[in-house]
Amino acid sequence: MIYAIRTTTGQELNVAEFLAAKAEKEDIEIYSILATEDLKGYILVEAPNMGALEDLIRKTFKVKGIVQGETSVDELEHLLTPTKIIETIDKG
Amino acid sequence: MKKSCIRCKYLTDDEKCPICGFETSDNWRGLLIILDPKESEIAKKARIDIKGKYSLSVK
Ligand SMILES: [Zn+2]
Repeated sequence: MIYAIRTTTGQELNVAEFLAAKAEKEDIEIYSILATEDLKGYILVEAPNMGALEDLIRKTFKVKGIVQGETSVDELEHLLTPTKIIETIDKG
Repeated sequence: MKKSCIRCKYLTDDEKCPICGFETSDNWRGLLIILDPKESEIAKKARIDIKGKYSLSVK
């Protein structure tokens, strides 16, 4: 499942790094975290369920809340497409 | 933080990517942290199978 959480605009990358470190330290089952300056005030977190996400954001003031609903990986396609120029170089 | 590999987008402090050996660049955007490449649908979509931090785009 991919969930969106709210954070402070401009802090998306820092908070993503903080949450990744927290997941590792506390052994919380988080699959991936995605942050970009283009998604202002939001971070995407991939986790098996809402419980894991709640564990992740517990006791941190850096996260303002969970956005209702889920995102599918297909909706993120535009963010994840590989660089076309490099693929061309690979073939050559 | 760091530089991004221009091929696989892995983030590193080095001039050459430790994963694929390509050059790295300071000019990157977005952050994708893969904690569990086996379970992550995003990792599959981005064709990432090694745990770590990656940029979303790099020039
Ligand atoms: Zn690389």
